[in-house]
Amino acid sequence: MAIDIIKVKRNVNMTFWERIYIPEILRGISITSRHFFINLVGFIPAILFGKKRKIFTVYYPEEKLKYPDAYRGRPILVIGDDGVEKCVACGLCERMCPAFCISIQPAETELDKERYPETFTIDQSRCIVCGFCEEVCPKEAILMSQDIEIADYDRSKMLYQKEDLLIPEKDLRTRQAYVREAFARWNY
Amino acid sequence: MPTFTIDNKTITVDKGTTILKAALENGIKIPHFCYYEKLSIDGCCRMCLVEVEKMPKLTIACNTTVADDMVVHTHSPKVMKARAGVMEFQLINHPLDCPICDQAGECRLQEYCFEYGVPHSRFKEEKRKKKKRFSIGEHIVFDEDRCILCRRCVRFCREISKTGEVAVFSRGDRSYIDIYPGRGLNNKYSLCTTDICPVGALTSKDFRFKVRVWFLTEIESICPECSNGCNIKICVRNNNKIYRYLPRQNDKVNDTWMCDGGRLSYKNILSEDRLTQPLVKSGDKQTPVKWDEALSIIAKGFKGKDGKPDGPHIGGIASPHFTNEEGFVFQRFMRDALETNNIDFTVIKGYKDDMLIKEEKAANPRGAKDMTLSPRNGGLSISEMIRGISTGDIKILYIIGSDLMGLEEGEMILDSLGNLDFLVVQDTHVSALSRKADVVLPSATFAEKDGTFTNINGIVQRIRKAVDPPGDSLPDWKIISRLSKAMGYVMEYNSPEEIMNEIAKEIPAYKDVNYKKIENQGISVG
Ligand code: SF4
Ligand code: SF4
Ligand code: SF4
Ligand code: SF4
Ligand code: FES
Repeated sequence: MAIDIIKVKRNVNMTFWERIYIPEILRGISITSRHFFINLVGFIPAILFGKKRKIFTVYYPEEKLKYPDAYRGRPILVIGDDGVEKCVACGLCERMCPAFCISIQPAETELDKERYPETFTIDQSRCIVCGFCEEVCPKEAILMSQDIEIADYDRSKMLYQKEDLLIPEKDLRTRQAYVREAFARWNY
Repeated sequence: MPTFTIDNKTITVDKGTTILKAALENGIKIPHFCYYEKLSIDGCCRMCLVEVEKMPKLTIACNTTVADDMVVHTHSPKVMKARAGVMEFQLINHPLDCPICDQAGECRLQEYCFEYGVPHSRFKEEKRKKKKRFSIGEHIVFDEDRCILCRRCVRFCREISKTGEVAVFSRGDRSYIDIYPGRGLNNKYSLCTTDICPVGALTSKDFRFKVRVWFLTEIESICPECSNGCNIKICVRNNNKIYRYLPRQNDKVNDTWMCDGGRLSYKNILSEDRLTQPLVKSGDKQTPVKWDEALSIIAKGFKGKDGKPDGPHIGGIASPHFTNEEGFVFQRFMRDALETNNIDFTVIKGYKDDMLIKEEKAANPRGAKDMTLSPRNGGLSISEMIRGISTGDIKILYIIGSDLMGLEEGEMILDSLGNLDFLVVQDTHVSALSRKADVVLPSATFAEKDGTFTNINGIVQRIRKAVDPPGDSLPDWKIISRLSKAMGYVMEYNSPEEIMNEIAKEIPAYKDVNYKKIENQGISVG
């Protein structure tokens, strides 16, 4: 059987300078060494003169980054501007969750929304932060937060109850806007 | 017998059959809201439009009778367009309520909207608002906003419960369903309206907002509340909690209905006073023990001084809640293991009507009779046994269930039990009887075991295990066969089915009965 040899076209056209190889190696080594030495001694001016460091190292957990709005941390429940949680315990997220980590006990309320979650539990040790719950929710009541610090020594503490999940809407505007934009595309 | 063609299928139906009925019987789907097999035809929802060749316009399938050589199309482009149109009209004033509506998941409007509707609303005007949730009867909440005016509830109350408390008031888009002033939707079958209401307008106060229907599994069973034996579905979540009963169609027994009492009786199973452990009396108290210990105490108690069963002095009072299998095993235990003929049972009587509700408030009095749970060959009846206690003829009683307390002389019986040497009570719940017992055995309810019931008209029907019995409690047949073994008389059964096969051999009327044949519609033993 004849073997077809396929020549892959890499779309890389190297100059002569690059082809002779050694200079490029040296250039690479010099970049690496420069960063090495800056990192090695770069903190000294910061300590001595109080200058801002030039190097990009985030000293977590003292320093934290702001994640982009598309980032999915642990899911949380939204408290509406009227001070009541938006969730109506419709059970869609509970049904949708691929990790089966949401459990809700619905109940009736005198409020106009008729129905609310008496208990709402997310088993954070099982949640795979897929965001399906957020996507399926008809009430924008569950959103993915930027909180990723969920580790604990005890699994039972990773069962987040309703009180642990509730966050006021005003702190979530950016994610809310992102979600609206992202899902509007699908035209539900 | 007209023969006609529907979706290229040629079928012959009885004269007078409607297109919709013929289609449904032959597995062809035609969406419909107002048509309901057990009610008269109203033809008001227009969802069932189909195309009949040579007819100038589309026609409703629910009220058009089949004629010879008719050619019907149920999914032609014209029909689909009409359906989408009807759906649009239905949804014009329908609230966007699905997330809070308890019907979601079993809602016709949702289903048809998904299948036949258009995904967007073109309605720019203000939606008509009506009254939201208010109590319309003891068990029912009504949401006028969600009602699609199919009038099923109206027809049900007129034709089935024959109480007629519900009607349509006003005209056009302002028409609404309501009860006549001063009345409530309170008939004995009122909750059936929540079953037939295709949307979430009528919902059961008891069930609403407890659980989403898509988390429920349905297990086919029989209502245990009276001897009519209405076919039901037990709706269970996670195999461990019962949330509701729904009626199941069986035209020989209950059509598609059941009474409210039966429907809400699932609460008995969940109740706090269930017996969950065998109890043995020590002093004034009853203390929990393990099964083996309880059974060996009973085995000892049932024996006379000579180490043989104290036959003539033992009485057995059976329960009309027994399955046939349990009744059979019980009488075998009494007659063969204990060598006594003192077997009897009684059943509590109560309200009855001429629809479904029967006088005997137990599932299986007929089966108990068939399984010979009444005295024979000189055995004593209940009243004779009770008299026997004071004369010393009866020293030991083995009572199952607490139906005795329904007798007029209940209190008197309770007092006389104190004179017994040994009293064993086997029951599902704590009762005045069980408190008097030397040994109490916890048994399973009908939802926690398999078996058969024979209803008042002699139809043998299956019950199926839906949930596990609480705590250590066991089905009666298991308890009795274990007890029998502890007494040295081995009756080994692995399943109620095995017992039924034995019943078929021994009881002539049941010779054709087996689990396969019973299926979900039951078989008659005359
Ligand atoms: S993010 Fe995914 S896994 Fe986590 S709760 Fe939501 S649906 Fe479940
Ligand atoms: S999908 Fe949204 S409204 Fe429904 S139960 Fe989940 S959080 Fe609540
Ligand atoms: S009746 Fe059906 S369509 Fe209407 S809100 Fe309830 S579930 Fe949704
Ligand atoms: S309440 Fe339900 S059954 Fe009665 S007319 Fe309205 S939608 Fe139909
Ligand atoms: S089902 Fe035929 S008009 Fe309603």
